[in-house]
Amino acid sequence: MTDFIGANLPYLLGGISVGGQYALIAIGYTMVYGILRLINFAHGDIFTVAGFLMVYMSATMPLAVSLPLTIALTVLLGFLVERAAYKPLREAPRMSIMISAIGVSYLLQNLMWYITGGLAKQYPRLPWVSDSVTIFTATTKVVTLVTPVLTLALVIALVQLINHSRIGMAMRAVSKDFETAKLMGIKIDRVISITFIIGSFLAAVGSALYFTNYTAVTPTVGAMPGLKAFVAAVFGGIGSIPGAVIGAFIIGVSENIIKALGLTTFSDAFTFALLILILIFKPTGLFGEAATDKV
Amino acid sequence: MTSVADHTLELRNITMQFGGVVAVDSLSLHVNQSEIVALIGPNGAGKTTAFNCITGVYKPTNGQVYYQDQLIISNHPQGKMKALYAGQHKDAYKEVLEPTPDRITKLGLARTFQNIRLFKTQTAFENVLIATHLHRTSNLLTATLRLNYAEEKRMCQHALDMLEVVGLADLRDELATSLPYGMQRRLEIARALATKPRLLLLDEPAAGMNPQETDDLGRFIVDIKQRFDLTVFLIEHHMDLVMDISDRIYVIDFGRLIATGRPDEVQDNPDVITAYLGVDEE
Amino acid sequence: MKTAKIVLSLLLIIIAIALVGYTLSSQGDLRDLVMRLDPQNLSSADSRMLKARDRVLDGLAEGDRVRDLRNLDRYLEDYGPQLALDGENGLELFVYRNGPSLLAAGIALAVIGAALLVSQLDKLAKLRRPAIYLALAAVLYAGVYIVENIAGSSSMLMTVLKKGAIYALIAVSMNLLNGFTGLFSLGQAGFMLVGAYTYAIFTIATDSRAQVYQYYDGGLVQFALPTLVAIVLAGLVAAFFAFLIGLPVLRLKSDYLAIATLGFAEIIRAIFQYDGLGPITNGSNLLRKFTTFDTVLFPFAVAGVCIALIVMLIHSTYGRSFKAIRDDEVAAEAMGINLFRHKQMSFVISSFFAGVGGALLAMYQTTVQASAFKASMTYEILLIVVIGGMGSITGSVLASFLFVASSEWWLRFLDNELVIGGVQVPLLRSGFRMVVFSVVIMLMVLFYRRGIMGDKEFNLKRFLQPRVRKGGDVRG
Repeated sequence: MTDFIGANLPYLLGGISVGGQYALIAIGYTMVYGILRLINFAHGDIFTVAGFLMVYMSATMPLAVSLPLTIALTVLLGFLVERAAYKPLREAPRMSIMISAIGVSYLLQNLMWYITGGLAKQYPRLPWVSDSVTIFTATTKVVTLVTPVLTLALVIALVQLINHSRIGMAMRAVSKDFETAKLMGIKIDRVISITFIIGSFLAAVGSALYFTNYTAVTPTVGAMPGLKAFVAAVFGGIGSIPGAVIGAFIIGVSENIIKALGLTTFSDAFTFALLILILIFKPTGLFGEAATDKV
Repeated sequence: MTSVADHTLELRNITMQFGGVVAVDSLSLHVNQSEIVALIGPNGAGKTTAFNCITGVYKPTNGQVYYQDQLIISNHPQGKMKALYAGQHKDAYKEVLEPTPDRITKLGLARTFQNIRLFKTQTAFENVLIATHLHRTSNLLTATLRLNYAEEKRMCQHALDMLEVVGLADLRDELATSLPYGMQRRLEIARALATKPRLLLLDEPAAGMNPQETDDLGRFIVDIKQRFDLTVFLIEHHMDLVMDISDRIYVIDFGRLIATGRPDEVQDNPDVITAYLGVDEE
Repeated sequence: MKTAKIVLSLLLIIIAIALVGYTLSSQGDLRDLVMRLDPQNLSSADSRMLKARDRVLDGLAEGDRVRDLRNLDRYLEDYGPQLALDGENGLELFVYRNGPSLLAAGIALAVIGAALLVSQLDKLAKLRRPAIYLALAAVLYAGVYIVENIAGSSSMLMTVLKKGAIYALIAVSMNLLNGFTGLFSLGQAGFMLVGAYTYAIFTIATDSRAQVYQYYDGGLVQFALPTLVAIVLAGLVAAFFAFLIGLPVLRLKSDYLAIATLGFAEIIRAIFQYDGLGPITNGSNLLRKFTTFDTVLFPFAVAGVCIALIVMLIHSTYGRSFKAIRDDEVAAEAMGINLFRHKQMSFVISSFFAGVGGALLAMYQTTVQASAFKASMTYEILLIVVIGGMGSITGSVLASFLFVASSEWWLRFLDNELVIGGVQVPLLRSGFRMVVFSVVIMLMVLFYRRGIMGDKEFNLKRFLQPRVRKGGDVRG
């Protein structure tokens, strides 16, 4: 029994940890989708940019400066991307804005490749969270334990913000009915900007946690976690924050179980298989709301 | 169950429920061969919903639709709905038939839309031509390799004829959405006619037209009815038009049938007047 | 006027026949020509010169045209001033050297003449349009062939043309789905992968298999199919995958469809890399040593035929229904169009051609590896389609060539460091090209959303006689 736990506990812990990191990214997807009905394909790249910012800044600055600065710059990037690439297309067909998102992703990846020369960079060691710790028989990094706690704390704070603040109310109104909310005098652009700011903030935090675990940062490293986080958001019911978090944990854990079974090739494919199953059998996800089209 | 032989269309207990809202409530009606029948009622009475149930856009919560005495749509309540209807129609409807709109159209029912739905990027001619796709005999391969040359020619001719019928032949190469409103409505009718229907369902064909245009439209509907041997079932708000051309009228309010009869009968019905004008509250 | 055109067309045909005849006849008597080049028989006095001349004649005797031309060049270069290269001899030499190009030009001229003739005969009115297209195709192919003969098969221009043709096919196949049927699918890379692998697996020469499949005992498949059969098979297998995938995903709404197809492409990639299928797919190792092409005409011909088929499909009654679905699903269904069946057709056909495109890409690259067919490849093709204009075939084709030319050729200089007057030009270094490129694409997506062509097609008639189009074109 102890052997079994000893062999599998690292995978389970790893799953919960990576699930938390996916959750932080997934929230960005789900909030943007809830409000703009846009799959923000560039979100995974913003997550990567945060990783590179940290790599470059921690080389010259102490952690107390570089980490907040990284988060601030990532937030700024998220804000600017929305203003530059999505806002001009507010009245355009939905396909156009999705294509714009793909274009931003392409641009960010090429830009990162240009700056880094395409080589993988080593993510800096963060004090304490990068330390090793032993639970029962399993040895892991402290970040593995910190992630779920931090994720839950941030999610609870976010839910409080959405349910009990004026801007939260505005967000809910916009995601319920974009047009009506506009007519009611809600400043749509402000709400959207704040959504992107929150999403980028969480992606930056997620990035710090993720890269402490997987320390090689490359220009395309964010694409896969990004897609998986999106799948998590769909799985939980797109637009629903608790749904995204639960979906992310489920995906993180099952992915690691598959790795434990020795089927690493299929760990990515599994995520998408899960996506397709949920789309077929419950297209609205676990916690999503159904919408009817008017003819 | 028996059905009367010359009913082109018959609705039995059609009910459409969206969550807690009953948009159409146990609606039964029939349209006879070669009749023009109007469905009227105040805004939000459930007229278009009824159309959508007939044409397969919505699956009715309950009830059946017959077309030329053949059952084409049938549903019985399921889940939560079943509990609501258990007392009334517990064992009445076992069969579930949920044909899609395209199959309904193939049967010979064609419709127009209240909020004009033309193919926006296409010309008037192309809009009508698409409707002839329904009766193709060529398959993907023969159509691609143009082995259906003769059929293609027939399709184009038919589409042109239909444009001629509605008087839009001169404007065939105009973008559909660049046409004036009234012509767009006519184009929708041409497109519906191109599917070679037996029963034409018109959803507010005169909406947005001035009295002169409405008058013309009335004559036009009677004209095509005779010319193509059609049965017409229409929703309309212009009472002059309805009274002018309809053989019979059904009036619904809050999804429920409140009156039926010849135009003059309906006109004087107190329920109808109440529904339209509202009750004086004292 | 009409008689003049008929006379002109007959004249063209006569010229073409004369050209072809002369070229063919002059291919034979090179020996004679070489002798005549040296009227004073200087070679008999100069043994080196004699040797050079003999080399030319040897090459000719062996029938090795490439070597023959090389020897001839050397001979002319070294002894040109002493030889009689003017007048008739010069002309004959030119004809010999450019024989294939002249033949191609001759055939193209003949086709143009025939097309012109057909278009003037009332009895053949039905064939008028096909004849015109045939003439255009003849000009295009002859042109490409001549350029290839002059520039050399491995020149940058030819690389761009080869890759451009392949991308054009793939972009058009994606446009069929996204631009004409309105299905926002992001699975193209997956179907290309299936096509590329199918092609590669079935054309690796039997005696190379042991080497390619070294980790899997030479693999399971132990035969090789003819190239064209394998290409068609590549399309069919991709189409079959699309058929299966389409069953669940085509019922989904726009953005869910996008993410589901993207997901399926990833699943396909994982499956093809799976070690358990190694005997067939070679696991995550390269596939190589399969049949490839060496002339640009091959991808041009295959892509050309495929694109022509897609265009014919789009203009058929089925293509019209696809466009109807794109414009308004509800209205299309009310017109009796079975949404699912037509979406499935479009999806399967698009994937068939993506598979063929994948096979061509494999031939172009000479090796295949599943890990290359990532989502970013689909994005790239999607961006090509957008640049060209959603719903424009000519736009997609044009954009493909522009895309390939700028990324492989025109913008290459941006990747190289440059020093002007002792000052290093800032920013220019490896990777800058793609940054500039993606900025341009973003600017197009944002400010020129309809792409180069919008949803219009390039029309020769309108191009030659520009005039204001009637009808409002206000779609945004």
